[in-house]
Amino acid sequence: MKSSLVSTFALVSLTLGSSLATAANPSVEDIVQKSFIAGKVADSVSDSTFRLINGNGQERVRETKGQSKLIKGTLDNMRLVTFLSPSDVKGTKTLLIEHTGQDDDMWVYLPALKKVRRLVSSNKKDSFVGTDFSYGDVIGHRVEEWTHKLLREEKVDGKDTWVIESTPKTKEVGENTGYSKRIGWIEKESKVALRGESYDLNNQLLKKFKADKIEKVDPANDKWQPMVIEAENVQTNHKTIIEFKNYKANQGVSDELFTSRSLEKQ
Amino acid sequence: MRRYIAFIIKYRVFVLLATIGVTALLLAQLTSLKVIIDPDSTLPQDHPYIVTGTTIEKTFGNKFTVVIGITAKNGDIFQAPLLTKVQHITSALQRSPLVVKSNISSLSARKSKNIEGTEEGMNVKPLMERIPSTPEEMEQLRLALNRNPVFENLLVSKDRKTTQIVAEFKKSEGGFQEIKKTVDAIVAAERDDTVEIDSAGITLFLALLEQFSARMAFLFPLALLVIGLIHYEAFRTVQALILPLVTALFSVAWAMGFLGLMGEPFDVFNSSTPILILAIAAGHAVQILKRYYEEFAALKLEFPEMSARQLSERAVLDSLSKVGPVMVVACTVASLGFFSLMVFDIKSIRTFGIFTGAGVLSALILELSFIPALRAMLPPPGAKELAREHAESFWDRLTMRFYRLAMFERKKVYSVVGFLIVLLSLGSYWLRIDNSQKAYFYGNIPTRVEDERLNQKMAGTNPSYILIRGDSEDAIKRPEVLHFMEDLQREVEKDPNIGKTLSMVDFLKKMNQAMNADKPEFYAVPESQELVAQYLLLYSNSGEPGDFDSYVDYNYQTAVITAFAKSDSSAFMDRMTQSILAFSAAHKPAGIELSVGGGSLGGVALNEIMIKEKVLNILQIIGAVFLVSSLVFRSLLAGLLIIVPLIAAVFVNFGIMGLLGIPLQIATALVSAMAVGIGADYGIYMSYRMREELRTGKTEEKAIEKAFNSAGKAAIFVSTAVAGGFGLLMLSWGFMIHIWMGFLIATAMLVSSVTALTLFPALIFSIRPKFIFENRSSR
Repeated sequence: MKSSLVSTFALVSLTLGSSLATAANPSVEDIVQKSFIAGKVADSVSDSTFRLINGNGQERVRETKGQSKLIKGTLDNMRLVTFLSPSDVKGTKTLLIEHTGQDDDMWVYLPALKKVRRLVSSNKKDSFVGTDFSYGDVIGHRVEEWTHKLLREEKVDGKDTWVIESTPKTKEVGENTGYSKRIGWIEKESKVALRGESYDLNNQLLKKFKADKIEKVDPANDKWQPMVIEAENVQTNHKTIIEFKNYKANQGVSDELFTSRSLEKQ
Repeated sequence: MRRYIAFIIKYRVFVLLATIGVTALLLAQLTSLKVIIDPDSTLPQDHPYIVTGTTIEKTFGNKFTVVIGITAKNGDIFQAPLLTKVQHITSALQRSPLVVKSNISSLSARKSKNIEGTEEGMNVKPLMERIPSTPEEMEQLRLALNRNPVFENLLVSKDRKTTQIVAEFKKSEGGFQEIKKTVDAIVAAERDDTVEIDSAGITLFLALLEQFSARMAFLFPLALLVIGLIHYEAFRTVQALILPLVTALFSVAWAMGFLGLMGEPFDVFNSSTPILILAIAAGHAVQILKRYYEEFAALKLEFPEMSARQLSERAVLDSLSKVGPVMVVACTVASLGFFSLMVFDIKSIRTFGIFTGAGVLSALILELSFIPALRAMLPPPGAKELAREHAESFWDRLTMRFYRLAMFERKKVYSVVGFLIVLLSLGSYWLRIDNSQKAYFYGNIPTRVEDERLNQKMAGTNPSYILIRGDSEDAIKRPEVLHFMEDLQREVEKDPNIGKTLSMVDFLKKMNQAMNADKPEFYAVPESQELVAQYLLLYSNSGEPGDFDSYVDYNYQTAVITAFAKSDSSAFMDRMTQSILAFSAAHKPAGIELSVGGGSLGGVALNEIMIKEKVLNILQIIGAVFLVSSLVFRSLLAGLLIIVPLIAAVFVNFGIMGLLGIPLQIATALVSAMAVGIGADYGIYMSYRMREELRTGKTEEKAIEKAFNSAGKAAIFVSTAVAGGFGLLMLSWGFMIHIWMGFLIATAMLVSSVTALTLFPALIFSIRPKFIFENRSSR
């Protein structure tokens, strides 16, 4: 009884505290949380071009079609990526279903095998469909698992940003994401991180991120989406640039799309 | 000549100042002299193996690899403390700025992935994300290694007692020794009595090469001292101790400055070249010094009324005007021979040619300007010194012995000396052309011991590469290409010296198996290009984009097969290469090109060049000597006779190498060039002196005796001094390059001087060529 009182009090003061902070100057956690949801639209469709560039400047280009939908009442996304080119991977599909607090589900359909295979992915540091983005980078890092610190405020490409450093609260979070530290340049208006850096478990700079052409894709819900995102692994000099075209939010995408069975269709 | 020398003597102060000025100017060039420690400089850059090697290094990396092996003293590697050491070493390497971070392979490296089949598909994850803490986790690691044969002998030995970490290093400002120091420090932190840690790989040998070559810093002054002392013992004057060395040192300084001026780099493989320049320069200096003393003594008898100073100036004039032209001839011959090395395809040998050629010319210029100017200013030799010069010594008795042999016992000369030369030359039959960088060092040097151990336990520390290039993008995904690569790997693995081969095929087979529930029959090449492409895409969902960078290029047009060999002997590599090329010719699919290169194959390329070009080069120098000598003496016969000591020196040199099992490689090949370069000098000096004396109207016996006592004795002095100086190199413990060079150069010096004093004059008396004996009656 006593303990629940204390915790209620704590919760109230925390909420109060954070809302107080918003009025004057938002708290760091607030900023990071807003950034976390800034791009989470109810559903979306887009065409995207993946450009993978290695250290020697050689390039692989993959055209894909993407569909996403938030699972009702959660911040977990379902994402379907269908490869359109090159020809030898045409028709390959990957389906990712996020589960907060548990392992995500990942299925892949290989047209050459005509079979759906499940990928066992237990950590967030794995590459997202062969890019320099990890699943963690794509899904977003859980705000509460990290300690955030406002380093300074800075202009990036003429836009005001907060520069926030995030470090994992536990060793597991660090190991699972592969990062010992992240730094984000969060734009004040859109809350989208325009720049980012992540450090590996040896505290060496591992990746640099960049987001460009930020568009307000869902004005009603204040959702923003960069049309170009870039990740560079500075240790391997490998780089991925993803460019979205025809990005549309709130298209009434059907839940049916996001089942392993539907992958085999068409 | 006489007028020129008189001019030099007259303006001696000016000459001295000018020389010092030029020396300072050239020394200033040393700042622009680039010292490089680049193994490429010893390799023929146009050779197909090297071209392929360069392509491979550019696309796939793996140039300077270091291999670290950890062996459990008790039990196998599946123990947390041992695996923690692997993790520590891997992280330490990752933190080092010298390491290519994306190219570390070890149990704990991110790119070492366990590909595993599950009920539902393929599971790809790092082999060892964290150190297994329970027996179950440990068992999983053991199973993962069992299930991925690709790691056998690379990450774990067959007996599971050894694990290995391979890292690629960048070229470092601090040279290979900095890499070795980094590796040693990382390894030392993990050594204890539970494990044996070995580090190996060609990079560490390059570090040793640097380290041992640096011994020259004290061997060089020591050689100077020995040469000076032998000269002192021969002449018994301070001038003899110092002046030849002054010429020699200035020549080295000038030649170095010249290299800087030419923008040619100085590489570690030329670190012993200054000693050669020293030897040649001293050789000429001694000839002139000897003549100076002779002239001084003769003048003193002839003009007792002249002051010592006047006598000295006159002696300088007389000696130089007589020996000077000979020296011009000898130096021209030698420097042309050395400069002719510039046509070589190997940068290191080119540098050697320019460096030595410039050194010889510097010695010539110095002996014709600076030294006479200086000598004219130095106090003339006193009575005591002259008496010493005249006193009969061991050297005189030795010279006389040669004289009597050549003059009166020619049959003995032909039978004994000729027989010895022919006999020793026959040893060339066993001459091995083999370039093993590892064999540069004693077998008991720790790096060699550890390298040998790792070669026993694991795949091998000497990678070489087979490059497969298709005619279009994605060619490597074609099943027939993959099948060909697989068959080729099995073929190469038949050689017991090959511990393992590795290519993209190994991973694709494993993926195919994993996607088919790990059934053994699916450990095979996927049946279509689409399947290959889709497996790779699937893999990329859990792997990282760079996981296969070491095996296939970005567009899947070029792939590499790495063959890990247990030996870096170029003779072995050559055999392997031939069998690869033969297999390829018979089996390769259309549109595919195959080439070999890189890694230890550099040695094979070097050998091919060595055989072809070295022979050519020796012929070239011999030809140059023949031509110039024939021109100077206006007699082809003279040219032929002059090259006799030189040919003897080269053949005996090769013969002794064959008999003693010394391989012909970069360092020992330079010796033969040195031998031919120096070998002509004695014959040239002897011929001129004999001709000069014969023309004075003396009896033949007296004239020849005089020549022996003058030019002959000087040749003995110099060859003994140089042999002694070079012989010192044999003290360089553990470093075969110095030992071989020391021994071979000493031998070459002695062979060419002995030949010049026995066989050469004997032939002259038997043939009585006009170029020596003509004009005799006119006097």
